[in-house]
Amino acid sequence: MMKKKILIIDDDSDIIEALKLFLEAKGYEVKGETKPSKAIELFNSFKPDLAILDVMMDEPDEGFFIAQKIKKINPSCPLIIYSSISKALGYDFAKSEVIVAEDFVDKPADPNVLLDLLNKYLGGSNYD
Amino acid sequence: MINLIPLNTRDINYLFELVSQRNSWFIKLRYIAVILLLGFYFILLFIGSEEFFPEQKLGILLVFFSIFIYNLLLSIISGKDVIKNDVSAFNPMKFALLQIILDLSSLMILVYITGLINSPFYLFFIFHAIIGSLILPGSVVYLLMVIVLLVFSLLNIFTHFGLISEFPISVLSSIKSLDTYYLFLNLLSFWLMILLSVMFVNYLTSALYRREQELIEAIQKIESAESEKQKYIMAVVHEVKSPLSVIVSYLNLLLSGIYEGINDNVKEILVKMKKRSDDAIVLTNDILNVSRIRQLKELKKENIDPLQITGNIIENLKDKGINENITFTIKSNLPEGTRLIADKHFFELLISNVISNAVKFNQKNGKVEVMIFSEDGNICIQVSDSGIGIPQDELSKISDEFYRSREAKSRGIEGTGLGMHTVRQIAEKHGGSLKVMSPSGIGNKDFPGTTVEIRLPAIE
Repeated sequence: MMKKKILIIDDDSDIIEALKLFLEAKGYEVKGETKPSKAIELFNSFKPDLAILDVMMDEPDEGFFIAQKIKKINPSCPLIIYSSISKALGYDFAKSEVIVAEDFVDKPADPNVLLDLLNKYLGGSNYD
Repeated sequence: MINLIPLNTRDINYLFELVSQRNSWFIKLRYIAVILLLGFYFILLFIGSEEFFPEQKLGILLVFFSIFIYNLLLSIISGKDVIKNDVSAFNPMKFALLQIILDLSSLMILVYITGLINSPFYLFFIFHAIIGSLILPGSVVYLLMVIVLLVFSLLNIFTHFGLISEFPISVLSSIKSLDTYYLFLNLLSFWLMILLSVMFVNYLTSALYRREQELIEAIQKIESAESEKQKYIMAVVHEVKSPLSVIVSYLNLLLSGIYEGINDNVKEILVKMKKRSDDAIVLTNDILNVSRIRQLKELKKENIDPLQITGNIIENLKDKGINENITFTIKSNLPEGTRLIADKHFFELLISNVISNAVKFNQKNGKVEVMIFSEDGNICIQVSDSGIGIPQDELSKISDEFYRSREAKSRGIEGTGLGMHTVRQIAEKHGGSLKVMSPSGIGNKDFPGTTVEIRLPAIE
């Protein structure tokens, strides 16, 4: 059985690490990327079942461009925007039509909240 | 051609707007003048029509009709897109000049047929000198008024020496013709009167205009400084929030139970760290929200259903199990499908803050009642609780930035002091208001409760 694969794109490597350790302990295969420029490359090679990404990376809406690209490559891959800019700052982006993400979670989130979301979008089982 | 724009103009659109307002005001004023002129005509007829020259009767009527007709045309023009806020086009300044030229010409004819220096109307030239100075650049008004003075003086001199006929109103004045010295003295003082009027009014107007512009610029500077300040706060708070998020993420990881070997003593400390870090995150979020609202120039308004949103927020709170012992009731007398035009995100934040407070400051097994109704074109949302209440002397301060009530502090109820401040900011940004009342009427002696009332305009 294959583990379900999660890709985390965030410019903060510590955020990736904390999440990665937790999700791996919960039985997911996790890869992280801090550079927006390499994110798509990794998405193509890793072929994740779900992607978690920050919206504000080097450029304010870089995350949203990545989200759009990911959705073009694989429209069925669920996306969770995980950002500390929260709705207060990110509202401009979050309300525009270009958002293709399935969910929007304020950073930092309770790990169980994220786990529930993964279950919701990946159908409960951690394995294919 | 001269462009008629005063040299000290800073905001051309503002100037055009101002002059447009005055132009439409003059059109209204002119209708009154027309009516008064007709009244004057009838009074003269009543006093003694046989003493009138036929030219006078005809002339006054002619002036009356021509003013009436050109004013009608001017009001039609001013309502159309003919006048453009453009320096080179037919702009409000040129429209004002056209009006003043028409008025001065009509007045000159009227003055001529009613006896020139003996006419009761010639003083109205002073009125035009003042009006002109209020709007047009000084040089233009001086030019116009010098032409008026020359024409007026020449007409007086010509009639005085019998070169052209004169039409004094004999019923109003027994003086048929003035002494030559007296005529020149009168003319001289008239020249002085007109030129001094133009000079003073022009000077005062341009000084006032300059002050007004400086004020507008000062306000704009303050507004942009405020916006910059909020941006700076947001940037700083966001920078603080990033490492905090990492700390909380690691603490979550440590407390998630995936690591063995964390003993109870360590865990207790980790829980305390997590608690304090979560508080800090809440504070950063509250500050970000307040700054965001203050910095926003425009809200993203849409049609929302206040009842549904409030219901959802209460359901979400219930789902989280934060308020198991609280009884909620929602009443609404809004007609089915009543919508509110508001920014959905900020409206949700407002309702969520108010309801969270009603829960947070409540007693065990307490009550929260929400009433939504419309009154005087506003949608009112009243949230009452059976909580600790707010002392009278604190009611007016409760929505101040970082203000926390004594009662909340002494009971050790935590908070940032930004919740109600955020609510007020959001309500005011929507053109609404916030009112906090205590007791709420659903509490008791020990728990008087609080009622928070938010009023938002229902229709734009």
